[in-house]
Amino acid sequence: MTNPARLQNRTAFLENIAKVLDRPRRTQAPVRPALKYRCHQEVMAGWSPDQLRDRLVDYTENALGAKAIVTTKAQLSRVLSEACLAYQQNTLSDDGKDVVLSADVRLQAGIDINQLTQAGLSLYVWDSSLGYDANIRACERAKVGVVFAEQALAESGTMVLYSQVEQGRVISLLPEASVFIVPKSAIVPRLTQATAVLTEKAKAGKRMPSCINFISGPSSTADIELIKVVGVHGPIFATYIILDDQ
Amino acid sequence: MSMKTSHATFKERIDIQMQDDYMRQSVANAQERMFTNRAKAAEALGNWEQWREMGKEIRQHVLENLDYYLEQLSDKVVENGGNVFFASTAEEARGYIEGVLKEKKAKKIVKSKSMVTEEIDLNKAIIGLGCEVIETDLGEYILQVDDCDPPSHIVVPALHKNRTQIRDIFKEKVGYQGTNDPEEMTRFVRQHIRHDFLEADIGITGCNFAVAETGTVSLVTNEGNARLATSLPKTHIAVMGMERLVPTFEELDIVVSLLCRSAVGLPLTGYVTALTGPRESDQCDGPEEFHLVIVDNGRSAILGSEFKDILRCIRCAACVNTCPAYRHIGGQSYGSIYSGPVGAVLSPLLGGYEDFKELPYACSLCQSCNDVCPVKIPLSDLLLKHRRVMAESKLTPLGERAAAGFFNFVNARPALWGKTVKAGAKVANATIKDGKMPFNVGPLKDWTDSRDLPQPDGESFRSWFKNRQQTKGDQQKNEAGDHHD
Repeated sequence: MTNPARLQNRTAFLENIAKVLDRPRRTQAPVRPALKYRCHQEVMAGWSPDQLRDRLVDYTENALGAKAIVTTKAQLSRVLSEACLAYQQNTLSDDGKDVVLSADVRLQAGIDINQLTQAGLSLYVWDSSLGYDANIRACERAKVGVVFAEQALAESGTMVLYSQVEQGRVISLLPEASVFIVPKSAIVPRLTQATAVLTEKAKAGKRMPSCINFISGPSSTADIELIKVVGVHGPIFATYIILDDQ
Repeated sequence: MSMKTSHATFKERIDIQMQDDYMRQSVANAQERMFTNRAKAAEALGNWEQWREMGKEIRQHVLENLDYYLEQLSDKVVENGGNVFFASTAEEARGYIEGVLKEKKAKKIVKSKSMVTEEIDLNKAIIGLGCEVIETDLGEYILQVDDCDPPSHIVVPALHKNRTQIRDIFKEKVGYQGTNDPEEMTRFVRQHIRHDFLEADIGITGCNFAVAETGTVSLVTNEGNARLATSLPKTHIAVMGMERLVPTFEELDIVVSLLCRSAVGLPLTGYVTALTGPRESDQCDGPEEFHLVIVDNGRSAILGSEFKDILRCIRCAACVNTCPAYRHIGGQSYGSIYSGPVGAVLSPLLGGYEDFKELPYACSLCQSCNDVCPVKIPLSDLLLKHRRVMAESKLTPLGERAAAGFFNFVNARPALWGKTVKAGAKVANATIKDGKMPFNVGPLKDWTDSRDLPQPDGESFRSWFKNRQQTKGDQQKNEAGDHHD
């Protein structure tokens, strides 16, 4: 049973809502009406993986001001090194030289750490067991954070990240540049397919990951004269690496 | 900042705002761009009417079953390891948050943009405890640094300031040395407050939509500040208006899609973040402690009233971006943190007619707001309802009621009416000189101030019309006669 100290003032609050709705308090799940239309399911329905990939690349490059690179598993280490090195040279300040890599097994299995080191990159691999301070410090000083995405959304150029032990929230947040790696098979039309996965998880009684992020390009603002400025509190640069392995 | 942002009267505020040429031009340009972006995004998606209909039905269903979904949401948050506080009033909400701050011995708080925390005047309470609070959304930061200037738009709060004004504020208040280039100023703020995120004890955010089934709070943002505020500090407090939730992630898809397109014309904003409780015990970043504060503060009274449709609102500001009244008077004229049509409906409900009785009149009833609202709120109908409620409860200005009362009395008596209009015509002829009257008729003052009246000829409209009909009839007879010739 729930701890009353962690749940305060609920009964009176909900009774009052029932009262203004002029009916007894509703404690049984109401019938949730099915969505009236299917237009959200019809966006890019029936598109091939290549079509979705092309749309993702097009939107990312033209609307988000981010880079999209299509490559193969065999070329991943080289492409990733080049992407990280480009940011080493282009970023704004000169303190911090590391690249923080997610410890996600899908990422670690796909890259050759030696090849990255030989390319001249100093690496830090996320390690939850070292605790908050060590990991935050590494990310704060790093130029680039590299993460593995669960899904990509073609419509909006979006990378879907779940927080997990191997891949903390701040890898894609504190460094000036983010690099996302996503397999072509994980590209879906839009948010509809991403939320469907989460609804399935919920139905199966699983807890949601504590932080799910839908990230579309670098951070941005239009708060001064509605002029778009890329790079505010989150990353200033972003590259998507799409693994074309189908 | 509370709901009310000014002690000046509505008329005084408008007089000040109408002098601000930059603001007026900027608002007009901004409206143009945001309106166009929204329209393009809706067009690109296709089937926009179906999307709106779904948005409306989802929000309607939640409101009808609000007690159930709030119970489900709060159970789930607690199950996930979080804390939930139900606050009936702004005082209760502030009191709970103050309690958390004290317990955590917090010194520094970072906040991401949240209208409901403005509504409950949270910052004042935090500062009252001797804590430092930093608004981290760029627009909110500008306003906070500028001695808490009130917001003028619910999505772009510093819309009324130009780059040079912002440069000057930064120069005076935070030692900025650079140019008025928006990018340079943005980078300055990034550097300037990064350490605040790292040092903060607590992060406070709003909540765009909670998901009842999973106990999730979602945030729709662009700058990355909300992510920092919910990743670095040890404690996260989310504050939500009690109506801001959906049953499951399936509905979240629809409302987030509507919000991003309607607010900024994009399929999604830069970050849509779904946060579920505190971090898992084996993870090392993200908050150890999570508090959800669910705020009523007048909403339940709205739910039980003829204004309940306004609770469907998803705060996209599409109505603001299309409103001709907002375009002319600007956001600060409303004297409320909520401006535009949604502000004119919501402010009197949450803040009372006493302070916001003029707002329902800041509307030409063009109904453009109804047409753009992604959840189909009949905004202009609600504004008319406000006017009716105020008239019935005698809250409209005394002069207006006296004039209307006199009109009704005379209008109901045809003989008196005839005499009155004839007398009126003579009085007008004798008093109007050079298009101006020597005195003001209260309810007409603003109109006569800005318009010259025609020089009257001493005749009432009715007698003029009667004579004209007579003359015209005679002419037609003559013309008809001509044709037959």
